Amino acid sequence: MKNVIEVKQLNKSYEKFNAIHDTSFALQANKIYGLLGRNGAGKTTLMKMITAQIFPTSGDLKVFGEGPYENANVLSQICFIKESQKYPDHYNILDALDVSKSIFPNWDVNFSRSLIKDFNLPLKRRIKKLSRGMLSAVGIVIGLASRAPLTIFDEPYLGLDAVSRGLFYDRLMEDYVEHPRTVILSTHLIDEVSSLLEHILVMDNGKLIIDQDAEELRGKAFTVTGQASKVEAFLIGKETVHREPFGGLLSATVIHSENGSDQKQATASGLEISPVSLQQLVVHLTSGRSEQKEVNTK
Amino acid sequence: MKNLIDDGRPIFVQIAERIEDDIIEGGLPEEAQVPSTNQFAAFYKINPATAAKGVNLLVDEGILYKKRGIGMFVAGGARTKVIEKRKEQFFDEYVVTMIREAEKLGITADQLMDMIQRGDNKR
Amino acid sequence: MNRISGVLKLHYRDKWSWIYIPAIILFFSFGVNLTVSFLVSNQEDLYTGGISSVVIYIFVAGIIVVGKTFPFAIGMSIRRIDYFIGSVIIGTISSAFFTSLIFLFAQLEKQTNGWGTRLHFFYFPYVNDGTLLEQFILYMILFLNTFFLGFLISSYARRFGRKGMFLGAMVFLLIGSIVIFLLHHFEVWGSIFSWFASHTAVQIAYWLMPFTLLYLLGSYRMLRRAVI
Repeated sequence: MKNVIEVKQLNKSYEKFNAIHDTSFALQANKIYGLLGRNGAGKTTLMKMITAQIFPTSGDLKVFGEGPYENANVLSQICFIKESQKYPDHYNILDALDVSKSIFPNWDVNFSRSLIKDFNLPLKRRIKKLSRGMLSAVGIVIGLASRAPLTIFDEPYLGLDAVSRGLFYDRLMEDYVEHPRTVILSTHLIDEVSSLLEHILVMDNGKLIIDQDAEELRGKAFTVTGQASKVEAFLIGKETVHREPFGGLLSATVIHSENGSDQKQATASGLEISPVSLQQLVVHLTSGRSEQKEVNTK
Repeated sequence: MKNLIDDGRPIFVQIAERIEDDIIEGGLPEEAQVPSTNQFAAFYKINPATAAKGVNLLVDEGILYKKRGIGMFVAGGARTKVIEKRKEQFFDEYVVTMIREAEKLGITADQLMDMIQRGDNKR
Repeated sequence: MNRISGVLKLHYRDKWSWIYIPAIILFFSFGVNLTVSFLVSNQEDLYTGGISSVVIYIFVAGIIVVGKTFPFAIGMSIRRIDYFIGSVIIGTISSAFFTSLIFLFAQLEKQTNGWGTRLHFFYFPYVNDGTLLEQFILYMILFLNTFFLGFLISSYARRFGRKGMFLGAMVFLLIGSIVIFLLHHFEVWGSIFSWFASHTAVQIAYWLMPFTLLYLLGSYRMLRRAVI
């Protein structure tokens, strides 16, 4: 399958700060990607480089097989909706949508109309006077109705309530099924979107630490709980990403071993096993890094 | 949304289990057409690729089969196959675990049989 | 090409900034001056600089346009070159519109002998001395030059930010002071004034053209490397 994005050893550094450090990855066409990580991990910086809004310090970046900078072939296929998307001061919602219509070649007028109804957007109201949630909804409408072959949403839901966010995910999936395209969702709310994602990228401190199929990742870790001594014994030789003592008990999250026999081993030694959600796993991987041990291959 | 998606386990496995449940309970009799991956995706709010993976898992096991250009169907003898598989799983997941827990609590085999009787009566 | 029309649409959505507000400013100023000229005696000509209000407005429009629309345009994956060309076109259209308006009213003013009150709002000696075409060209160049100077400042601000603006202003002041000092020192003021006096208005306007071109090139260079 052809790669939509190819990034090799990409770096972006500001005066005293490495925003992106030696990052390499490739994204395939028509998949939904989750770009996860904490604030300041470099997600927005990465997406801004992909869309040629800012320039890499070094490295190789190909979008649809070409460099994106000033490239009409590439840019006309991208719609990037970011949390801080700016609109001209005097614009009302209709203005923003009409202009988007003339910019994005795949724009679907009927779809945009139905989305506007879904989100209850007042077309004639000035964008400046919209609530934070409505402003986000405008971005979502543009992002979805653009049907751009590469659609990127960077934290697009600020100020939206759970119902509206659910609406966003529903419409995204419905339309994605009808019109497959490459989607990148950058988000904190991993639990809400995790079932939509096919592939996960996790950034931490400007580095890409996970680039994996979502399903593989979901089964990747589990938590064992039990007497501290027993848990400690079990943990020997395993990759532990998180540990949390509680009285005489210890709860530890470990990465599955290759052969998958470790869960049986845990039940055999009387430990309780519980699944780890994607969100928990990502939180553990990006916050408890000091506790991370090297994998001990025998 | 059905309370299906448990984020700690691969979703495609859960989708496969869902279809198996339907086959066991008769919702999907043999030779019936299985919903398309897109329908699964829309209904459970999951990625269609993931749904496809779940369906393909069952195709590999001979529980579903593909009619080109039409869709997926329940294979002949699928129900028996699924039930056999589930019995194995039942043994692993429930019986073995139960015996282990019983050991921990000092429950003898006779007492355990007794308990099973009582449980059956309570039904 | 498609994308440039997108940029035109992007700008044209703001009819207030490009058409209505400057037209209101122009005609409000004209209205006030006309009223004044009715009230004072008709014995002598009344000259006003009211028309400069539009020129200043166009300058300001150039200064604010990039800040207002560039982040949106780039955010909507428009190429910088398309944004630049689209903005140049819209600035040119706006300049042409006001040039035509002023040109038309200047002819009317001349025909009506200053609206019957000897008011000179649109039509001036020296400025309107040339042929009709020259009168048109003069204003066109004046507007374009003013707009693109504003656009250059705006592009520079986008490229180099607040720090760059401060630095740029300092350098500009420094160079300006040195130039004025040198002009003073070598006592060349007189020859400069006589140069102006020896040229017609439109000839002087022609001299603005290379500057306008420089502003354009400069703006493009800035925008090419501007980020959002």
